[in-house]
Amino acid sequence: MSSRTLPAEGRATEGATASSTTRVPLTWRMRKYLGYVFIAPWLVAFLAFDLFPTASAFYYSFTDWNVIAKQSNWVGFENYREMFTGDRLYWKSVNNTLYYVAISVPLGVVAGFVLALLLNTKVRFQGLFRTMFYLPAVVPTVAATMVWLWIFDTNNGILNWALGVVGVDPIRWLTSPDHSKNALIIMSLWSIGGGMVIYLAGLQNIPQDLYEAADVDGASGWSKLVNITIPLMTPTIFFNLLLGLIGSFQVFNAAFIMTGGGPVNSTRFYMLHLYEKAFQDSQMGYACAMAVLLFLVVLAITIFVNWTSKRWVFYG
Amino acid sequence: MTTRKPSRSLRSPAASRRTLLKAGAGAVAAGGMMAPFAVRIASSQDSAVTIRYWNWWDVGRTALMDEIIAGFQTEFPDITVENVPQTWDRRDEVVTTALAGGDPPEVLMATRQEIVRFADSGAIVPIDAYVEAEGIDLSAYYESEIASMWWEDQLYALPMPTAGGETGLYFYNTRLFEEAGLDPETPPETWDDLDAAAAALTVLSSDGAIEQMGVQMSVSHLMFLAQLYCNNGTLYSDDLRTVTFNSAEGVETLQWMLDFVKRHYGSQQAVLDWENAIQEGEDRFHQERLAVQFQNVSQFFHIKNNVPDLPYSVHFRPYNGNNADAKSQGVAAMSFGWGYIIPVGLDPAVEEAAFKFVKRITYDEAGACWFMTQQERPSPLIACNESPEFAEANPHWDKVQQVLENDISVGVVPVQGEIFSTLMDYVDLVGFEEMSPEEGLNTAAEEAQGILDDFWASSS
Repeated sequence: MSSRTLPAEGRATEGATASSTTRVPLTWRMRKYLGYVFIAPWLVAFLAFDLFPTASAFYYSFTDWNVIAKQSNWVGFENYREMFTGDRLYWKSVNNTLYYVAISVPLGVVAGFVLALLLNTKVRFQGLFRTMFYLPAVVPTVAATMVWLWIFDTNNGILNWALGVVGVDPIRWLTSPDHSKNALIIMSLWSIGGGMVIYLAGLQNIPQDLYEAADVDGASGWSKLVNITIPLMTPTIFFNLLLGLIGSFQVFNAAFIMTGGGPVNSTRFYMLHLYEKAFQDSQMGYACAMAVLLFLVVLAITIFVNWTSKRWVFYG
Repeated sequence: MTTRKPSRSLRSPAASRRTLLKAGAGAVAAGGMMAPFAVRIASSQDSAVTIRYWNWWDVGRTALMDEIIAGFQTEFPDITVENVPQTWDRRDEVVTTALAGGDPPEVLMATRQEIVRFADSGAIVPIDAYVEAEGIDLSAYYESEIASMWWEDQLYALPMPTAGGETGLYFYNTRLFEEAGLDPETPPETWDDLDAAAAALTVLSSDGAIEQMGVQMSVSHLMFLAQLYCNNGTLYSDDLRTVTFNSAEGVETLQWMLDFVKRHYGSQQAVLDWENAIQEGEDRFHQERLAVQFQNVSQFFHIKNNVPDLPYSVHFRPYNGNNADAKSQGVAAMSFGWGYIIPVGLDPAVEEAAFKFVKRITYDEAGACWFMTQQERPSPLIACNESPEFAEANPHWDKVQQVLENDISVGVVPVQGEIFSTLMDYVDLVGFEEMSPEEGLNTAAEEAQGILDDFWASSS
């Protein structure tokens, strides 16, 4: 590195005598590696717990590894062939997951945004409301699930009671294949508080002078929302959309705890099927193949959404 | 594996600082040279061994197990047993990763299905040699209990508690029987009797929801398998090569179950609504909202522990009285029942200590018998159940013993989980009336046979 690019301290070091150089505790050459030392804890954990398992999953997806046995055999694309042509429940789990993603992601994005808009207005107890709506996002899924089992109870649940008040017959939320996925989608709204907080941060970054200028021009509230708020919030919406997509493709806990994939496999989502293959049927090689495919699909969707963002995300 | 070394001190009162430094340097050098032999030296010189014992003996049984461990440690002071009760949350995942992760517990409580699955994968040690060396008489166990501990002619575990008494008995509430005008002294013997009892005992609300279930019935695969054997049907052929649950008896059984549910409860969905509803406590039989319950013998302990005043009795599972070949038939190891396994890769001394502990909890009177007696439930050991203590504590003991003697062991294969999942899926479809019983069972049998064939082909 030439002295032209060195900072003052570096130039001084380079121009010093040999004896004075030895007194410098850290040379410039060493210093440029210092950053790696600081990120080493994260780097080691990333390599050990993310990159290595992910790379291993690619390898094991081509084997018949059953987790417990020490050996496994190379089976080529057999797991992938089985996935597409042999596994009766694979496409069921794909369809269930796509249905869930297609509805829960837009619903979550819109609901989180609307909630943030409401909580961004100057009302009394604003902080309290924000806390209340965010709280479910930090409640453990298991605890939340128990609450939702109460809510969805066919005969004694509060949701059916409320529907009954307006004359709607009881709905079998968790025991009918026609409604079980919708129940879990409704339940997914429980955690929109996480997205809401990000929207709130985005809303507060919008320059107020834009609204003031719009007021001067006599713009209505709707007009300000459509022409100022939403365009300037598109980076945040984009961010939440990506997180929502990635998270929804991996939906697992609610179905695992509440329905076990039933009734009649109507809530057998991709990750639940993968989990059962891995740990109940001991088909870890097959489960790895499922995981690899999910990874590739989510990656492709992420790239696609990212590509479309050039057309609709406004960075100001 | 963990071994405990006795603590020693290098320092002697007369040693100088220089002597200590020399000794330290020598120890470091010697340690470096001897490092490859460290494990072997530790196991051969140190007799102290620690056994981690993973089990699912919760709900009041942990203290009992601790007592057994204390007695065991008194007898074997060099063996320390760490009692590590586990939670039920994601059990499959926890057990599998423990075995696969390279540091499994030295003794693990495993289901009958897990035992054959792990044995087939070479993850656990056969115990025939230990059994022989310790002089264990396997005929001390009921045949149905010990049968599912074997895989490919090798013994991998010893049983405790029973897998028998799982399906052979039913519990019924004598008060609810009397209130419904039924005689508790003549409980249902056949399917027709059960039908009549359900009609008398079931209470529905004005909108058709179940308020009190007369007879526990659901179109589920485990209920189907239990009823199947009471209609002279079977799950597999004796050689475990052929799926047989779609026989005429199988179809008749599933049809009867479906009709029963529709007749008394409206639909399978209504049953699921009732089962899924969260009430205070979990057992409707304890709440006296379920009159006839098909439950395994652990219920004796839970009633004693939770609702000691519950008026109940037990009887044999009803059979199809219209089938001349059918009889009340209990089946062991269908889904319930446990054994104790030792993973491969342990130091020989630790493995031996682990077996000593397995023997204590599954064979020795001070462990195996005592633990069951305390729970007023039967043991897989015949002699234990002949103790007068049992008969005094449990007025239903004669029926319990009769069931255990008559139970048969259903075959268990390493791919049992997949086969049960397949059967469950199609029985569910029958329950939701998306398939007829015959169509559902035939399709399930075809798929299950494929799984079985693939397994035997890869196994050979």
